[in-house]
Amino acid sequence: MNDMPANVLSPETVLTQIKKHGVTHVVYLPDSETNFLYLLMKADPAIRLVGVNREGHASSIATGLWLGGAKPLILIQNTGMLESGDSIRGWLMSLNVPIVLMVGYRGWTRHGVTTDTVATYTERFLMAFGLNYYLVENDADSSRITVAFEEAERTKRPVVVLVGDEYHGFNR
Amino acid sequence: MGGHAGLGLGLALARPDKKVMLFDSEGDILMSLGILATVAEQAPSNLYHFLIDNGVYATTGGQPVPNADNIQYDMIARGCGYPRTYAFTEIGDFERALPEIMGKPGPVFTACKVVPEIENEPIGRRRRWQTRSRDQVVVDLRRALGSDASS
Repeated sequence: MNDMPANVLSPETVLTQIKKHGVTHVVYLPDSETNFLYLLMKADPAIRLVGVNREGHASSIATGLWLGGAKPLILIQNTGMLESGDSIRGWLMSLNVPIVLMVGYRGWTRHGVTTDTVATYTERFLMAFGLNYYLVENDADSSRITVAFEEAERTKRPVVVLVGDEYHGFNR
Repeated sequence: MGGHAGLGLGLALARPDKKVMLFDSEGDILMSLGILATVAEQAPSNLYHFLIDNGVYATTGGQPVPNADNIQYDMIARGCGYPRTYAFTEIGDFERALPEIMGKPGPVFTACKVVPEIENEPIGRRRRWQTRSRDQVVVDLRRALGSDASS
């Protein structure tokens, strides 16, 4: 039973979506929002966690996994996504890898006053790269994760899910 | 550049039934040294990681890799947790060690110092060795591995 308030995104919801779409490996670098999701994934034998030391590594690892027939998910923060730019371009986009990147939207203020510059540049980056993305802020938005997975498969392109729920349910 | 080891790791993890031989370069691995820690932690027993170290960026005209003659890549790999590492400067030594390298489980890291071959021509005038497009290579590889059927 999910006791989380309705206006938050619970890690259980995210894990349900991940497993629903047959993800086999989650290539990740921890951030301030994803600890409880990490603990759930760690406890799940169906998912293998691959921890990286720099977010750009995730793109090449995920490409290798996909080439071999696995179904990876990349789980990083927006700061790391910006850092990964050329890796995303050279591996995921150039090789048409149908993958979902779940990206923590650090600094997201729902179009309020944004003081964190990474938030300022997150969507601009995605638009500049031509990467389609969906914003997920609470459990009611979780169907967008399914949309992202289906779009990635259909278009053979990476699709981003922006997780705009810092320090609420996602992190309990 | 900077992703060869990651690609090899991903492939090895996805296909534990296959031996994966990765031919890496020092320029590439220096861009992503941290990947060695990830490889060592995941410890794919089917990954055989060979580093072909010519000490230069051959494709851009042969400029030296920083500190090329003083880096001990096998020690870096061992320090990151690779259980077996080797380093060779002589082809005969490498040839004699190869059965041991390939005969035991990985991950294993083998650094080979080689003489550079530099084609100092503008990209447009270089010999093209590729016979297939990148997209075709991906299609062919996935088909050969049966990956299309599994995903």
